[in-house]
Amino acid sequence: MSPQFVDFNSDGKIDIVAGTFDGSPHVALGGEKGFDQPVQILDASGQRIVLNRFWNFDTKIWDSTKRADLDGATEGHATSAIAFDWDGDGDFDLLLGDHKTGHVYLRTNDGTNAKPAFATKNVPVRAGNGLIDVPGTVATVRAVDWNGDGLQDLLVSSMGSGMSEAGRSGVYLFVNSGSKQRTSFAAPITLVAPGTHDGIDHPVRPDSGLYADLGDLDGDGDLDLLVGGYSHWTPGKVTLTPEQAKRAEELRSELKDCASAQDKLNEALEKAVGKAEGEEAAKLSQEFFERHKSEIRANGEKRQALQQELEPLEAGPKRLPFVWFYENVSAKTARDAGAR
Amino acid sequence: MSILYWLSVTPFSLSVPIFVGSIRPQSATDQASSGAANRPAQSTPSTEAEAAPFGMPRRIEAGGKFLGTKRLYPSPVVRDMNGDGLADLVVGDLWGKITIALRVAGKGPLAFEADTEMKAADGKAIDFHNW
Repeated sequence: MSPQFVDFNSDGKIDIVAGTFDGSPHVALGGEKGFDQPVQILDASGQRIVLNRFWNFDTKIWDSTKRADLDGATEGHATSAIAFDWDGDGDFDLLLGDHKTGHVYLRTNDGTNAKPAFATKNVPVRAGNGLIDVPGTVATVRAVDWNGDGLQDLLVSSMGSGMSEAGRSGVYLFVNSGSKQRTSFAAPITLVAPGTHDGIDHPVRPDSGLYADLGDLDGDGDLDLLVGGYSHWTPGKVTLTPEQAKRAEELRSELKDCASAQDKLNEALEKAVGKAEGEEAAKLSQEFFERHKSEIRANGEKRQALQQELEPLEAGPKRLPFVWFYENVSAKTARDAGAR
Repeated sequence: MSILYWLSVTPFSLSVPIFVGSIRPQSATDQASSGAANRPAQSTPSTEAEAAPFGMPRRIEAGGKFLGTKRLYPSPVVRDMNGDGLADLVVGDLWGKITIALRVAGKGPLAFEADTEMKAADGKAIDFHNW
């Protein structure tokens, strides 16, 4: 969920726009006393804006719809969104990033910012000679004027794979080579290429789940790249003091207890659901979770804490998220060259 | 229909990832075919970084600790949040929570205070409610 700070309703107060994993864009409107809690942004017909998949808050299941498809052939899940004036008419349209593919979709606004009327269909966005299609599915979309020409360019970073695979998470820039009235994205420039974490023994770069932004973090007048993302690495030999070795044993034993508590919960759940299928099974499992929520959560949190403490004491593959700073060195390089 | 399917498509698969192996936000139907073969030409980026004037990535610390390690899919955004003229870091996550790490003035561009939860006008943590 990458928050965009923008005056979405043109009331002079900054708002926050973001897509979330429930499949819809949201806005937290800014007011005198701060931000309201976020609400969903609806389309011109008053319906939720979605690609296909969404979390259905009424039935409490993952649901799917084709109502917003142009061709009925897509299968998307909008987990990122930005306000973006696509056609230069002074109001914000919406760009939606798809977590299931590498595509980006447009919902034009036929109203105004104060009274928006977002299209009810998703139009796939093109760049260069084809549809935008970043490898590794879209994690997030951001609007930024990269080259200072007054047009908003599009930054797209990709999710890539989880634990097992690497090489599909990157950061891509689509320069807007059109005009204010006619957005036209050029073929993408790769800012961060997908990498491999084979043979990496300490965190050196983000490998998966990339959420990027461009901004002048160091205040030197150019745009730096910030990337939230998971690093994957496998440390070499881990040498422990006797105290650490003892603690590691304790932690392993406590984790075993957590695992058997989890097994018991699993058994109880299977019993509760029995032979039910489909929606009935979903309902029963949901009820089970509601009944055992605190127990499940406590056990999960305990397990997480134990694992976090044990992780540095053990060899084996590691995976942790960090926020990474890529300094823009082009201006600096130019200055250095000038000084010589 | 396996029980794991229902577990994987409920919120609990992420909030408490004890029943399923992965914490990646992915459902059992994620692999479903999407008819990609029938699509028009795609605009696919190069696999090499190009024209990217960036140095090697460095991990940001805030309050003496690496920023983002306790979050699920941290998403940083650059923005001056306290109006001191210095860029701060706003960090969202998959849950829909936002934290702010303020720049420490006079300590160089990468000195940040520990991040704190961003509150809404109602005094509660701002919550881009998820499923």
